[in-house]
Amino acid sequence: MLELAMREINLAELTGHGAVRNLSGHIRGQEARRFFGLDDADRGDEEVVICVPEEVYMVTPSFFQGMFASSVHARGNDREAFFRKFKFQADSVVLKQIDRGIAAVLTRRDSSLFS
Amino acid sequence: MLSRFRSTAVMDALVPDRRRRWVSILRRPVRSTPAQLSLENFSFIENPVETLQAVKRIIETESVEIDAKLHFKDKYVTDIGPYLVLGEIWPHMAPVYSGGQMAAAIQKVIRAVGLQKSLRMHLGGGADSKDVWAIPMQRRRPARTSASQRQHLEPQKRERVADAVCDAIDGWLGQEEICLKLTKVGKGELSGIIGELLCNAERHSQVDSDDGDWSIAAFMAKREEDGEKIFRCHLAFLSVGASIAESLETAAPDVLDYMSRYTARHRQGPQSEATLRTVFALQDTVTCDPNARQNGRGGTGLQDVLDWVTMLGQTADANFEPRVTIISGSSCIRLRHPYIKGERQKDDRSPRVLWCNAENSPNRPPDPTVAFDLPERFAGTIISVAFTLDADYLNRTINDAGTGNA
Repeated sequence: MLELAMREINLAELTGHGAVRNLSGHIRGQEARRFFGLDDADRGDEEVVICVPEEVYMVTPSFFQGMFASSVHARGNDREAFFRKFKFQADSVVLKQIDRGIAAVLTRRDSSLFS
Repeated sequence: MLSRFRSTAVMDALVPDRRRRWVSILRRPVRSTPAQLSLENFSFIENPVETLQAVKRIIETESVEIDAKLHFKDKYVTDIGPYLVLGEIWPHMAPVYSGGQMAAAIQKVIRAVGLQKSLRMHLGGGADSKDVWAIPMQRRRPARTSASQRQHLEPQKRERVADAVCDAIDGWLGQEEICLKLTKVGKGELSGIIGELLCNAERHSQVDSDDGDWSIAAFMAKREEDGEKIFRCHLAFLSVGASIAESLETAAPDVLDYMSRYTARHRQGPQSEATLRTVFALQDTVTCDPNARQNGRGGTGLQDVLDWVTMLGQTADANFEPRVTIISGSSCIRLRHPYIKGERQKDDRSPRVLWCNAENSPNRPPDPTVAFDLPERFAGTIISVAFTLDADYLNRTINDAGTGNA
């Protein structure tokens, strides 16, 4: 039996184990990326499981992009490939926010305001 | 009560020659009757020009008098924004103010939002907290003072505040007359809006730094008005430093280009370039961070706030409609019906725009009663929000939508 190598990242390390119930800020996302070594993870084959504590009700798009935009780009801007690499264990509300975060990474700014 | 001159951005901007006017405490004349200042209609939402001038008078008096009385003439707090500004400047002022009049309802709010200590007030009335629910004033520590190596990895003050705002509004909605609660989706959206707004203040209020400071306070008061129970909600947010117009200096080239065309188009109107820039900043996708724009982030915070306020503050009574006033630098934007919320021009993914004119068009100038220049300059940005929770209307809307949650 072969088993894929797997790594677990628990975002409770960022929320102070329940001290806050939301994660915000692009810089904070970038710092989290460095802290958890996601550049290295992107180069490896292992799956990464991201555990979002149950009490968290918001992962803002800017935090998500700070932490994961480079990983989405590293997988060729392929949403499905990103999700094959990163498995999110989170409430359905947060999973939708993560989906919105990916959409934001993949979407260029709508320029209609400037037309 | 010896006190030395202390320079602060807010006070120095409102009274630019404050240092020159400052009289040493020992040289100030002792008068038989203390100087008297009265604050009436003390509200950026209802009375922005005179309210900012009143704050200026408070600072001017502090520079020259040794004893002064400050009388709050209003019956209620109708905007927490000016009180937040007082909380910002008071610790830096000489303690020349001693006493004055203040209605019990105002004392109750001051106590509930925790401003009593900052304002060095000994309040005699409004000791009970009945019918007032507050988010005590929260402040991020002054800019550039964090010593932590793990500054961004630890739970952030803005995140704690976002949670507190969610819990508070959930509690407000949970009053027996309203009987609603925020869903997890609702809490998520609200915390995201507050978190991003405060994050923007941290990143953009200080030039060359992402470590700016802010303060926020809010309360809901249940009042009897014309025989009806009314739930008045007030929230204010303050960041000290660069104004919105100033912070846009660093925007991406395409944003700068469009902004410059927009301001050039309306240069002949009554608004200054700074005020036109502030109107421009209301539009979705306008961000002062070129990196964020490049990566499709940011620039939606103000419209998110307006969406939330208009959603929560829905009412059938025009007297109680939501109001938002933005004071930034020397510019004031007073948002209320019909200019309170941006509209998407094409589809549901196009940016929300609020050009503050009847056509909602960038080709037309903003309504001068909505967007105008101030005679004074505030060193930073104040966003004052007022809305009413209309239990009947909210419940009817929720029931029509077939759910019991907001």
